[in-house]
Amino acid sequence: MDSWVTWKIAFRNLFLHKFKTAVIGFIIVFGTTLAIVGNSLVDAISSGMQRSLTNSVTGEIQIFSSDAKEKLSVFGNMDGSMPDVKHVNDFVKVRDALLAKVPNIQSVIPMGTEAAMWNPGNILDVKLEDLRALYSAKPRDVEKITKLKEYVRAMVENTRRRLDESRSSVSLVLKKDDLFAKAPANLSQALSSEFWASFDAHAEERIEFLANNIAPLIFDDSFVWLSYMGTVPGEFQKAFSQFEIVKGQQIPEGKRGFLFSEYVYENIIKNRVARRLDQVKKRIEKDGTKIAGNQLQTDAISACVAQAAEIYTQIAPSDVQTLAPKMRKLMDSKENDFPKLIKDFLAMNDSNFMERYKFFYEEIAPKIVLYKVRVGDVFPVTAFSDSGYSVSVNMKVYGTYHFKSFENSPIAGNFNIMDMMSFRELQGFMTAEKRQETKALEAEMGVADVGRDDLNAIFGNRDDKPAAKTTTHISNALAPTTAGKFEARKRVFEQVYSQEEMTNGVFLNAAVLLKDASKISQTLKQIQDVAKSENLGIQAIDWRDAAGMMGQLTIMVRAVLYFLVLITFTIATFIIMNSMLMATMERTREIGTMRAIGAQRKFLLKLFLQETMILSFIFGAIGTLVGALIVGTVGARGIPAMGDPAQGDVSTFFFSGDRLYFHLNPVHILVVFICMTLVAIISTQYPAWRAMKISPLEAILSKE
Amino acid sequence: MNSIELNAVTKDYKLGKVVVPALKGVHMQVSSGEFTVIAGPSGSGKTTLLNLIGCMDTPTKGVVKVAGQETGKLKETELTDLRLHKIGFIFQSFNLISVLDVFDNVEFPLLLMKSLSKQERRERVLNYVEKVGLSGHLKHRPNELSGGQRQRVAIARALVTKPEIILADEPTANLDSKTGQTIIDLMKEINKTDQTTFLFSTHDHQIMEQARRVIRLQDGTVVS
Repeated sequence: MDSWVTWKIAFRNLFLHKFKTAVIGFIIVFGTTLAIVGNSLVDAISSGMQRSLTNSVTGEIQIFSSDAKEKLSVFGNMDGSMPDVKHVNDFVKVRDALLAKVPNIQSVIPMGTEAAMWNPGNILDVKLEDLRALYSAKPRDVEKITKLKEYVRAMVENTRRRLDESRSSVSLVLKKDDLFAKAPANLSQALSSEFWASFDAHAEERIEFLANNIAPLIFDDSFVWLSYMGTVPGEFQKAFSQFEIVKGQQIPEGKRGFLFSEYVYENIIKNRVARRLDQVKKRIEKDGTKIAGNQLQTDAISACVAQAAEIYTQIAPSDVQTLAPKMRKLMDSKENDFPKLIKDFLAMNDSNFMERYKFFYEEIAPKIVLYKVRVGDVFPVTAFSDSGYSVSVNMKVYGTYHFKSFENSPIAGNFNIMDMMSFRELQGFMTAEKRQETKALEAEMGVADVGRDDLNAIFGNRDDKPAAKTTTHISNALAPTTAGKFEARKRVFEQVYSQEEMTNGVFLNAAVLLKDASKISQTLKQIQDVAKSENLGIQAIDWRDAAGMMGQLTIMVRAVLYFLVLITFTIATFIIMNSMLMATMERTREIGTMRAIGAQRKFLLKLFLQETMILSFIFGAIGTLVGALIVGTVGARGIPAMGDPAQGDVSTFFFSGDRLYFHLNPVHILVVFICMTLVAIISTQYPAWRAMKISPLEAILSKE
Repeated sequence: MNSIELNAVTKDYKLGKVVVPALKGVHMQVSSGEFTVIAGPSGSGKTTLLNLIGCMDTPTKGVVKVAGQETGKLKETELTDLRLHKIGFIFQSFNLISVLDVFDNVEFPLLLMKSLSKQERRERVLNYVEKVGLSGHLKHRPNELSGGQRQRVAIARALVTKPEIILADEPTANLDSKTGQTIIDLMKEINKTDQTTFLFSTHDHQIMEQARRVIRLQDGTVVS
């Protein structure tokens, strides 16, 4: 039968109830627009994240040991720990096998991620160490010693002052400590003129006293957790094109070394007060946020004032002489007390901020320890093994790096980079020189036979635990080391290795970069096949899985979106159903008439279905059009990254740039089309069933 | 030959727990081409009788034969088909499809039949619309027509499928007597020219007088 008459009836019925049709139409337009725009957005974020992750850390595919106890998650588990993925022994074998057998692989970069603790020590520790060095130098530089002693004395004075001012500002860790109870007595002793008069004569003893009793009282900012990634830095740079050195230089080939992530360097390693001033400035410059009236800004300024000690305790008395007059002039102040002067200086407002910020970096910053580690410094990184033993390695900082286009992203900037050799050592794997050293140590201590078998077992069987328990402990390079045996270990950063030595050996995971990044799943399959046939002992997962929670994020966002769209469409379904049900009641006589004249039940089903189809598709099409229009205009212009500019934008990581651009995806239009068909079919079922129940007798029984 | 044949037909309705007998053993035959009136007071069972003959309902007991088919033995879809092809309905309150114009209303049953081409349908529709004198109103919707005009559309719609039987349930009840008379005249004329069997219920004496045969119902039985 020519079905135009049913279409005609359907259309005219809809037109007859304009208001109802409009309400339903609005809901459908809303739902479809949401689905189209939302999906485009999530797509864009998803691919932005893919770019960010694959270009910064994960590569397209990650491989790791098939014996892994937990699933690889490059950014760590939810609880902040690193998953136990075991390790693979022979990197070169795995790499060469994969490169030979899987043509789509561009490169394989060995990796391992872990977090380590670093205790930078406090300023008094550092200065005492300097003093100790000056005393042991020959000939003694009396002038320098005198200056430094004055500085140390001033620091002790400051410590007492701060302790008097506020007992809570002193390390919380020490509160219950014996040391804390004895602090007043120790401080008066350390400030007595007798203590300083005879200092030169008892230098070693005095320095010990200060280091043991006074230094722990000084502000306790000391533990820093650093996430680091062990890799072959040169190859890493080659593989990840967005990689860029910011400060200093790349770790030279064959050398051990450490590269800070610029983000970590600026946000964790930098002096806290300086960091806060940077944040305030960023907010002013990027968003024009004034200090007055903004909670974040005023909080930052008051925190700076509260932590003024981190500035004034670091300025040597000799520097105060030159700095104080300049500050008084700048601030038009008569304040003679230097700590008070610094506090006044830090209490900045909108009118003087820029001027003082400039002054801070020109005059004050050079006189303080602006970064806890400077480029070129050597510092100890301490990692804890599962069994609780700690391993320390002295690392030379060669510079800082970032990934272009996500400089502000704390996620891309999460990892500091170190050479594979140091990484393996921190993981507790034996290195060649370590093995020798252990042997020498054992020989010296007369325990040569103890642990030999253990060592053999370790090297013979890759399933065994890493050799953490045989590693030596160097707690702090700045602390005195009496055992001369360790002197060589302290200089380990000067060792030179061959590329082969650096690259080959144990690795935890490795990034696989592809020539054609669109063929991830096929390549994944090929890698798994090769791993099986060549017995490589590895498994492979894609970047999304490898990023753990991070990778699941877009899936979650999409789930939320689908949920919203589902709710909208469900509401639409119910409203359409209700409206059709009302129509059934209203049109009982008409339906009865049609039945009496000879319309079969399925004719009614068709009639109702067509009515809802028209609703769904006309308004679905309008919604799709509106969505496409929004995607076309807003998406092409891009959404700017959001968030507090001072904290680093998480969004730049998801957006993979400063703006998020999004496009229309035909798949989503198809999905919307299918959804609308479902809405039409589902909402028709019950009303149509009710309509089919209407007897032809209704045509006669109900009067006009 | 009988168009309609009823044999000991009983129809009970259930109203809650009470069983109400509407027809109590009705016998009757209507021959092809007859013009018959079913008369009787309200509640006498006229409408029930028409419903059974119109295949909208089946009897509780007894046999109803319409156009040679025993309705009690047919499935719902077959009854619907029988209504479509063999019976034309004219209702007391016209029952046109309000959103369709005159042409579409008349064409509607032809579309359900699915057997005619567009051209054939068009010719038939125009033919019957002309017969009922509404050629000038093809594009009008029912609410743009008078009561008499609407009933003429209904007649055209009932006739357009060329049914064997036309059933009309008090077709003039909602019309004034003059218009009612023209409608009756129209039906009589069609009865004469097309030899279509007409069976309609009414309690209008003026109309009863014009019928060739009157079947009187009282309390669910045929009294004469």
